[in-house]
Amino acid sequence: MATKGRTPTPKSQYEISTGQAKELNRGNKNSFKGDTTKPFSIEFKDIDESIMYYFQNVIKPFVIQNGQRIAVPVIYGSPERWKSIQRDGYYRDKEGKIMAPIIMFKRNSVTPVKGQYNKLDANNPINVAYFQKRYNKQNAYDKFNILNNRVPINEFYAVVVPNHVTVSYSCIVMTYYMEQLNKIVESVTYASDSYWGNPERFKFKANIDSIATVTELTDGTDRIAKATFDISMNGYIIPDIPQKDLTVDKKVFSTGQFIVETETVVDINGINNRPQKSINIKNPQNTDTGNF
Amino acid sequence: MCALFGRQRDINLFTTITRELMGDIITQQCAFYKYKLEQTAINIYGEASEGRFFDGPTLFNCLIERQDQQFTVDDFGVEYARNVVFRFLREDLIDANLVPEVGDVILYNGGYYEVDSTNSNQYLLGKDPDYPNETNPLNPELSQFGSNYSIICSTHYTPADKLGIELTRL
Repeated sequence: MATKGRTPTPKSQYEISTGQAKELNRGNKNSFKGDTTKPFSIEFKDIDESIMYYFQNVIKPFVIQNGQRIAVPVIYGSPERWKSIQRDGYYRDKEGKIMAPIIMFKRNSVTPVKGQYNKLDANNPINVAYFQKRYNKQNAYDKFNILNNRVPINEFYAVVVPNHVTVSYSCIVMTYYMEQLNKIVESVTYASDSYWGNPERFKFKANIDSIATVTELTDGTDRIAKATFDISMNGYIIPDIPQKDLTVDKKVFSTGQFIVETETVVDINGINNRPQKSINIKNPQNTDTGNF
Repeated sequence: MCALFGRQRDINLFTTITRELMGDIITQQCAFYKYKLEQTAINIYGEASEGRFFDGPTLFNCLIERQDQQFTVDDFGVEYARNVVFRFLREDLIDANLVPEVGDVILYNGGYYEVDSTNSNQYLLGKDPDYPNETNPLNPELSQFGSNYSIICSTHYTPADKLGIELTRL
């Protein structure tokens, strides 16, 4: 048979999407082996964590209760039962009742923002941005290299442009006393319309429109002062899926410089007696005094 | 002509037997905390956010009707709730010079319970001697009959850190 010993090559995702076979240039395929830079992605979890980070490390809400300064715990809403009871003991008393004050937030909805720039086509993303990796030990930019006119090669990583989304969260602040609630609401209001998140990771703009404060006093329960408000985060996502890496090369290098200088000798036998200084064909008169 | 049954002598018998029953046989106890109104400061919202002060605890023998613990779930996770009914002999409260009121706190089995309601509705022979209706000339000395016998407090569990009686948070 004609196909004996030959395995048919399955079509790639690109070929399926465009109907054309893509020419493979192996020179552009750079390995990520040993690379500490992971493929870039921003997920909803990053946006969620930015809120948690901002509450815990920037706003740092606290109340004074019975003469004691208490840091207000912040939790994500509706945790698993075992986690809620067994692991989150620090905001519960010995019977397991939740002790106020406490702040809870959880994500409600995600609305894609239209009208921004986009990746054009999810099956064939061609709108990408490049960011450069910093010099490192293997690719150093030091004085020795400067003296030798040796510029290290830059490493670039291609990242598809993100999808802009508006992520809506609902947040509830629960305290025993309105006086405590006031302090927390004041601090949250002050932080509105600013960028929330870890400066070493991602920051997203947070908007808070209105805050409803109520005092609940119902039969058979404790009196509770509550504030409820929505946080609208202007975020963007790059999901960790294979489609975003289909079209462009994820990792590229800047052009390396390889200079070949022309040197001539009159007598081949006198090659050992030639002057040690070479002639730069770009600057044969050697007018650049800073050039070695 | 006056009432036939429930004279003070009968009431004393009931009280003696009840005390013996509650103190020596049933032996359920709780501790009662009464608010010190003069020392507990409140703010504009009607709350003692800077701390609260109590008289007590005063130990009582009582009948305790425990309801099941309830673990409800909401956005904050699993929440704990429990309602308990405490039944006090009124004579004991009179001896301790203590009037249970809504908002007082009862300590039972290491948990604190806030009083939601107080019911003084158990009259022996259906008559409260504080209201003898002695204007009736045909039935004098009614103030010596009957008895307002108990006070029943319905409570709910409240976290200790709100009360500040003991250190709860680490």
